[in-house]
This record gives sequence, structure tokens and C-alpha cells, in this order.
Amino acid sequence: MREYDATPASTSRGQAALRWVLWIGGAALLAFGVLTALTTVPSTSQRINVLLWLAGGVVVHDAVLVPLALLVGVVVLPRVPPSWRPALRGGLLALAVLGIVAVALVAGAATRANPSVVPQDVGAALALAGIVLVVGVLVGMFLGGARRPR
Amino acid sequence: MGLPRPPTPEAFRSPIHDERVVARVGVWLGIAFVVVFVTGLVSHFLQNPLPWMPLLPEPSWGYRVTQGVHVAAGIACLPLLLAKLYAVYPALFESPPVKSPAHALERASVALLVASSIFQLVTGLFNVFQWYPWAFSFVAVHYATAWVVIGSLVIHVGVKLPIIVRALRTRIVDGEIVDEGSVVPAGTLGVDVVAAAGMDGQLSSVPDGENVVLPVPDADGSAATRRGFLAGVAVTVLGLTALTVGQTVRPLAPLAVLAPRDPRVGPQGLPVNKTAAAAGVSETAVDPAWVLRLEGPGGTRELDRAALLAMDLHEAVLPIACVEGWSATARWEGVRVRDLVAMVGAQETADLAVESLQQGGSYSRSVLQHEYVAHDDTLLALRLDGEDLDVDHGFPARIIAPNRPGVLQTKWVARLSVIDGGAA
Ligand code: HEM
Repeated sequence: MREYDATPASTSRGQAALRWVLWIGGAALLAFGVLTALTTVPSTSQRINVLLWLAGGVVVHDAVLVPLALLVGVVVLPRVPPSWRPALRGGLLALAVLGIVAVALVAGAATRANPSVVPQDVGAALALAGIVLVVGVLVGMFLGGARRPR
Repeated sequence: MGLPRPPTPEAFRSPIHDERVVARVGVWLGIAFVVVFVTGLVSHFLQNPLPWMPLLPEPSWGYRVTQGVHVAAGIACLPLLLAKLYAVYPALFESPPVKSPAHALERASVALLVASSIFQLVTGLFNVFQWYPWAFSFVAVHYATAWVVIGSLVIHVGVKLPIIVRALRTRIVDGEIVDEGSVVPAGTLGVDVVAAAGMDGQLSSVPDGENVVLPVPDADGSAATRRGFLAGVAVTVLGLTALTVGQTVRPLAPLAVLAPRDPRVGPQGLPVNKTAAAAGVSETAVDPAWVLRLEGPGGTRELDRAALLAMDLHEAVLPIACVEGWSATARWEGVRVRDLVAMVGAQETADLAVESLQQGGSYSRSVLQHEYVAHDDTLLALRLDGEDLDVDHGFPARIIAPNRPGVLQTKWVARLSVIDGGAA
């Protein structure tokens, strides 16, 4: 089996030139960002905190979202009709996003500085969003089934 | 018993792990990132103008739209990024992990792109909910990270360009991504089928191993699976947007159950960021002895609220547009700032320093550049929608000018002083 090709070869000279432009340009943008961070975030404790958050996002993704996706992919999807699978996958994506937004919503309501920040009833808002999600998945499953025999 | 071995890329069999899916989600995400970057820079330079930069008070809704788009597109990036990571995830289990120096750089740039993107999207989201569970300055770090995200994205596109071009060239027929035949991962088929197809791996370099071109259209429903996945991503993005964008698009406000703000909710039907109490001006703002101090080349004047209300009053319908992405239009009534600077002998070309009653804090002082000073709609507002300003909206007087970040529309104004070059 041919191995996964992470750094493919250019297919034309023009493309090769464009890639060099992208690499050099990207490296310049990146360097500007790092230099900006070094000058505007001067304290070591703040820098460490930034690095913790950078790593933390990846860790939460790998420790929470990936196992959830694997669980659904290995346990749930193979046991349902193929026509339902796209809707369930979409629902999984929406659930992950709703989970992240829910954290922000709950925390924002808990720490609100004045009543116009997160003014809504958070429980009701999340319940409503959950219902929208479930209805969306059911509609998707129905449409998937309807589309199949063509 | 040994440790469980990590999976190989080939262990992920779903036809979603396909370069054509990855490239399409990548294009959406890339466009969103560029939009978010550019609108973010607009906000940055409105707040930190370079000396040679002209500031444009027109269109009055400019900042409202750019910052509204910034936050809406930023929120839409969340499902797009997760979908992209889902589709490429098998590639992270490549073995050997590093094959060459170039490959090591490639993987390092991807690691930086992933970490900085997740960081930017999540901290941005928490910030608009005014939740700051970190120990750094959000604005400084968000600004620097924006360049890191975009830089690593550009490098990444450079690395993957041949695959992107090839993947996007595949035609879409009847809503399905097709090419000569349907494409399925080799891992799901017997070797003889691959051999029989006789066209080895034109579409390889897909994270889950090799794809082969088969003459049979959509033999196992792979095309339908890919189409379904892209549809699911699109629906999720639209749904999330529908439930949040009402914080700036007023007609959709009733739907905005997941938004941090409702443009209709707050004192006088307008959201508030900093209240009088939080700014420590609850008493000084309502003190009847308040006067506005005007300083210019022609001397100093002091005007109380009655004197201001007796002046030529003007009305302006302008949005208050927050850096956090919410905005709401209101009818403001007050004195034109240029009439005030004229009283102390300054011209319209003068920049103006605005000071609040608020003591300390980064927004207790602002500069109103001459472009704004000269504009008809730039007011020292005294009234809002026909009533006296609420103290949380800046009573006794606040600045309101078109096309400007809300944080610069200083409230509880105590002093206006002409900076320089304003001698009449
Ligand atoms: C690829 C992702 C993003 C990029 C490249 C980006 C870029 C930027 C830039 C360059 C600024 C100007 C910073 C300054 O004034 O110095 C900015 C401001 C801002 N962004 Fe983002 N951003 C991203 C994602 C987000 C997201 C997801 C949100 C929220 C949902 C968000 C919310 C904000 C806010 C609230 C500000 C104003 C900060 C302030 O002045 O207080 N951003 N962004």
C-alpha cells in the first residue's frame, strides 16, 4: 500500500513557485505574530499561561471529542441503516459545538457583570437548542432514507 | 500483555477521510479564517490607528458590520474546524511519524495551526461571553495569535497545494463528488478488485490510505456518505449561525438563544458593557454640580447640562457596535462635537482628547480624531430615544460617532480638550 503522502511534489513549475511564495509569506506572517507576542506579552507567567491554553485545547479535543467520535463511529453507526448515518454524524458535530457553546453560556451567565450580558434563561436556551438539534437529526435521517432508493 | 498499539491511518475506513472532503471543508474554513482575520485587523487599526491612516466615519454601519461578521464567522469556524479535524484525523497516526526534515517542518506547522486555531476560536468565544478564565491580556494575545494562525495556514496551504488542486478539480455531478468513477479506499476492497480496476491510486495521499478509481459509480455508497457529511457540516454551520447572529441582526434576535447578547435587552432597550457602578461613577455621574470642561487654543469653558441642552441640538440614528460583536441602533440627541470645539477656538481639523468621570481603566480616556470631529453625526449625546440618557449609557453626556468601536464611545464625559494643530 502506498504510504500517506504528507508533502506531495509540485505538478508544474508555476505551482512550485507559488508554493515557495506561500511558504515564505506564511513564515513571515508567523514570525510577525511570534515577535508581536514576545513584545506585547512580556511577563513569563502570562506566557506560560498562553502555552497552557494552547496545549489545553488540543488535549481537550483529543481526550473528550475524539473518544466521543470514535465511540459513535465504532459502536453506533455500524448498527444503524446507512441512510441514517450522515444525519447522526452531523448531529454528533452539532452536539460537540453545542457542548462548547454551553460551557461559554453557563460560565458567562454565572459571571455576568450586568443583567444585559447573557440575559436569557440559560436552561431554557440550551433545552431549545437541544430540541432543534434532535429535530434536525430526525429530519436528516428521514431525508436520508427518502433519498436512497433512486 | 503489551500496550495497545496506536491505530494506523488505514484503520479509519470511512470514506469521509478523503482528500476531496478535506479540501472542501478546508476551503470553507480557509475563507472564514481570512474573513475573520481581515475584519479583526479592521478593529485593531480603528483602535490603534497608524499615523498615516485616514479614519472614515462613513459608512456609519461599517464597524457594526465588520465586527458582527468577525464574531459570526469566528463562531461558524468552530464546526468547520471540528469537521476538518474529523476528516483528517487518521493522518495524525502516520508512521513513521517523521520521515525527513521537510516532513518534520510540515508536521510542526500543522501542529501549530491546529493548536493556535483551537485556541483562537475557543478563547474568542469565551471572551464574547465575557468569561475570562485565563491570566493573560485577551486583546494582546488574540492579536498576536491571529498572525500565527494565518501564517501557519498559509504555510499549510503551500505544503498541500498539489493535493488541494487535484481534490478540487474533481467534478460534482448530481450533488456528488465524482471523477472517472467512484472512489473508494483500497482498504475496503479485495486486492483483486484493485488490480481489476487497473488504475492504481491516482487519488491517493488520502489520510486513510489509498484510493482507487473504480469504474462502478458509487459501488458502496461512499459518495453518498461524503455528500451527507458535507451537508451535515453545512447544516450545523447554518443552525449555529441562526441561533447566534441575532445579537447583531435585530430581526433574528428572537432566535438568538445561544448568543451572549440580545440587542433589545438593557436599560432603555440597549445592552450595556460597563455600568456606572462598575466604572465607579454612580455618584459623580448624577451629581447636579457636573460640568463639561472644554479646553482649546481659545481658552477654557465650563458648561452644565442645562447649558448644553440649550444649545443647538441634533439627532443622529447610529449603532452602538461593540468589539464583542453585538450591536444595536438607537436615536441619539445632543450637541455636535464640532460646535463645542468651535466654542474654544479650535478648527475641525483638531483631534480631541475625551476624558470620562471614570478614574483609571483603559477606556476612561479616548481620542476622537478630526475626521470624526468634523462629521455631522458626531455628538456629545445627552438623550437616547427621546429620554435622558440612562446612567449606564453615560449620563450626563457621552460621545457617539459613526463607524467606531463602542469601547471608544466614551461615557460620562467630563472633559474635552483639543490636542494640537487646532488653533483657529
Ligand atoms: C481564526 C480566528 C480569528 C482570527 C484570525 C481573529 C483575529 C482578530 C484580530 C486581528 C483582532 C483585532 C485585535 C486587536 O484589536 O488588536 C480581533 C479582535 C477580536 N476578536 Fe477575533 N479572531 C479570530 C476568532 C475570533 C472568534 C472565534 C471570536 C469570538 C467568537 C473573536 C472575537 C474577537 C473579539 C471580541 C475581538 C475584539 C477584541 C477587543 O478589542 O476587545 N475572534 N480578532
